[in-house]
Amino acid sequence: MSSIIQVNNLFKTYKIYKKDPGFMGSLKALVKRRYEELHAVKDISFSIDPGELVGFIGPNGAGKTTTLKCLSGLLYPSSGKVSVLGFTPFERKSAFLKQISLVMGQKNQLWWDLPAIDTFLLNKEIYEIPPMQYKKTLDDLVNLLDVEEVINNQVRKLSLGQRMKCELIAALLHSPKILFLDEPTIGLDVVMQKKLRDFIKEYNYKYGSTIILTSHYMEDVRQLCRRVLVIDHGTLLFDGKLQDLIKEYTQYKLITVVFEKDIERKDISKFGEIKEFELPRAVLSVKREESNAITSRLLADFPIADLNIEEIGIEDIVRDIFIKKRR
Amino acid sequence: MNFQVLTTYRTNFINSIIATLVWGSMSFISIFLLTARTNTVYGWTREELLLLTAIYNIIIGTFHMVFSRNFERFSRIIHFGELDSLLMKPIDPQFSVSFWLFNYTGVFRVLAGIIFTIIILHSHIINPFNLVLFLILIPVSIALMYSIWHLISTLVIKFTNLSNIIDLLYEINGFTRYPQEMFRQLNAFAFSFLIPIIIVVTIPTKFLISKATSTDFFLLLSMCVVFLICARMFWKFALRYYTSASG
Amino acid sequence: MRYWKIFLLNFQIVIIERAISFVWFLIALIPPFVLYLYWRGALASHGGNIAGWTLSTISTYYFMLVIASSCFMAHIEENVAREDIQQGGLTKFLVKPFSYYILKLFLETPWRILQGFYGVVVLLLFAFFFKNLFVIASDVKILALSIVIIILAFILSFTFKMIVGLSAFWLTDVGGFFQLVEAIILLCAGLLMPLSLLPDTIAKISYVLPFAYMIYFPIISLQGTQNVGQLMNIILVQLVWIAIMAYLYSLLWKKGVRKFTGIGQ
Repeated sequence: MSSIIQVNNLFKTYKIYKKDPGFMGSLKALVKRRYEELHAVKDISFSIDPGELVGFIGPNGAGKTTTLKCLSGLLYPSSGKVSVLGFTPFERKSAFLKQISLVMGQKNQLWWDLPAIDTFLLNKEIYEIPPMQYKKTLDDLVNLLDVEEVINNQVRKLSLGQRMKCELIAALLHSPKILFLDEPTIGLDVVMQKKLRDFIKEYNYKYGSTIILTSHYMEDVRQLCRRVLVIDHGTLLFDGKLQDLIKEYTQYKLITVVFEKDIERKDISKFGEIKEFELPRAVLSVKREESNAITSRLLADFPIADLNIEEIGIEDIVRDIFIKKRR
Repeated sequence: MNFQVLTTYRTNFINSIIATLVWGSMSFISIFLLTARTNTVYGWTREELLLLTAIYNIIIGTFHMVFSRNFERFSRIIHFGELDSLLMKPIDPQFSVSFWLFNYTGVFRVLAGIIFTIIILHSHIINPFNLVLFLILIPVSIALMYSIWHLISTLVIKFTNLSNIIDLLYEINGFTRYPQEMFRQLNAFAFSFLIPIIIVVTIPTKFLISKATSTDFFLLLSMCVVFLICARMFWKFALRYYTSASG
Repeated sequence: MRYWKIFLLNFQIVIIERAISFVWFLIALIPPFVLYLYWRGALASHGGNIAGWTLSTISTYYFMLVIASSCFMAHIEENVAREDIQQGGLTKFLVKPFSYYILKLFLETPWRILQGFYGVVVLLLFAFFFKNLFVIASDVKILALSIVIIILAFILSFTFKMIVGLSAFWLTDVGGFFQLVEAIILLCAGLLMPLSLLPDTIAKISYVLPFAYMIYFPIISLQGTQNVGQLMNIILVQLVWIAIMAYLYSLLWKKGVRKFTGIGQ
């Protein structure tokens, strides 16, 4: 199967204007501006096949969104070759645009003062969707997302979650072959995040469209993507199955404990690696499979005021990968 | 601190300067052109109309320096629903809304106005008593203009979608560039409605050209006092309405 | 057909925002009204005639000016410069397979139509109460050609304002630039006073610039002071300016988008 997206040696560099702090800095900036070069993307290459559900993960500012914009035609590369659906994205040919869709978490395309259905009708005309197909797609999506009651209300009156759902519908009415999602679950509550993830998974399964999403939430990627690309400081650190990434790098969980009474360091060292120990607080790194059991033991054996179990954060995983790559 | 804010947004600083220079010049150019083919209009000569424009720039320039940015900010505060956090602060809200920002670039208009005033009047002799009354009336006029703006801006608390009310106020200011005699043609109702705004520049100017009467002086003074009180009362009323309405 | 549907969808927004639209109309009403009052006094102390303009022709001029400045003149530059370019809203247009120019045209036109509606209502009131102060052409041919001139004036002002809006691709100080443009239009489009009343040099410059063809010529065409030949001439000049503006627009658009997508938002 030939790839639907092909990226070779992508580079993207920005100029950032710098200003000195304080009053003198402001005066200086009036007269002359200094700038630095920011290398947002450094030599990234990969290819994606049709129907894949791929995640770009990395910390904020890693270069994920920049790569996504290069794929969708919103940025042109400083150098390198990008081919999507056989087109060069930044030429933004009409035939290309009709087959893709971009949803950015913060920017919305829905008309604020009108009901969502009006924006849907607008897109129907813009993408020249035949009426029968439009009706069928609309009904399917509305059912999948359960927004029947809200599509006729003014968008400004909808909650963030409902708005996000309507944005997705607006983006999918023309049945794009590729869907780009930039930080789709940002700002949403836990329940809504899950609903959105379920929808994306189901959409990919049902319609077979290629979906690329960027996120700095591990959970987004864990739930959705079989394949991940880890990007940090503009470089591609890992490209492969999520399973492998998890197995290799996230075998551990972090347990943060706040003790009511002082205890000895050696008392808890048998449970796992002590990452931090400053009473009354301590942070333990324990094996994933054992985390529940260890938590029960801790609660039973020690006077504990507060306990928190966390995933190892993306930053930690990425740092680990980076360190490992350096060796 | 304010100057830094002004220059950090380098763009806003240059915008303000260009706006000030452009509209300052246009106010003189337009009167110059309008009076190109006529001698007197409504009993005012060309020179007197230019003087009117110069005084207009002094009053408007000062008003823009001290107040207009604040009114724009007020409109934004209401639009973005930030009035609550303003009311929480231990400062009288009217004060913090009115005096928060200072626009230095307005000083150019004031200077232009002063220079033109001196140019036009340098060969005239001005009764010192009239001069004193003129100087007293300048802050009075500015205060009257402020209270009119404040009264109308307070409406935005209820009618939050009228974001262009400030633009309307800028246009209404434009009335003040013309002699009050011009507005007598309107029917009595409209004229009396407009009196507070149209006397703001004309009356002080009349003192400089010895055309003013004591009625003018007391009219401007009393209007100022009345409107300041009305503005304050309406403001308090609107805030009460706002705090009782938003549950 | 799809163009018509998109236009209608845009119209709905304006109907919801009609209160704001009315305030804009009031704002457009004030300067011509004040200037009209001024000229009444000027004419009175000048024997009722200044360079061929009488009370009825000047009243008609400033009256039509209210409609012209609110209805024929586009105001799209703020939206293009601030919301689309500076705040990055342009991205949602770049991703769609549809002309940006036409989408903006459909956004702007409903506002002009609604303002035109307010203007016509006020016009009917004015014509009713001040019959003798309102004089427009009665010849059908002239009226028909005037309508053509008005439509071309709108297209011309819209394309020009789009170009002004595109300046945000290169200028950070768009506000100052807009003020400058507004001041030039005030003088050279006849918004301050009829061009034939301006001093010779300024008038001559104004006749050469495109702004007179957005406001001044449409008004005096409707007033019936021009014959058919002169009207055809005006139309010709408008078409030439539209061609120039259209070319400039597409050039600046290509360059601007290239820059925008080089920087990213």
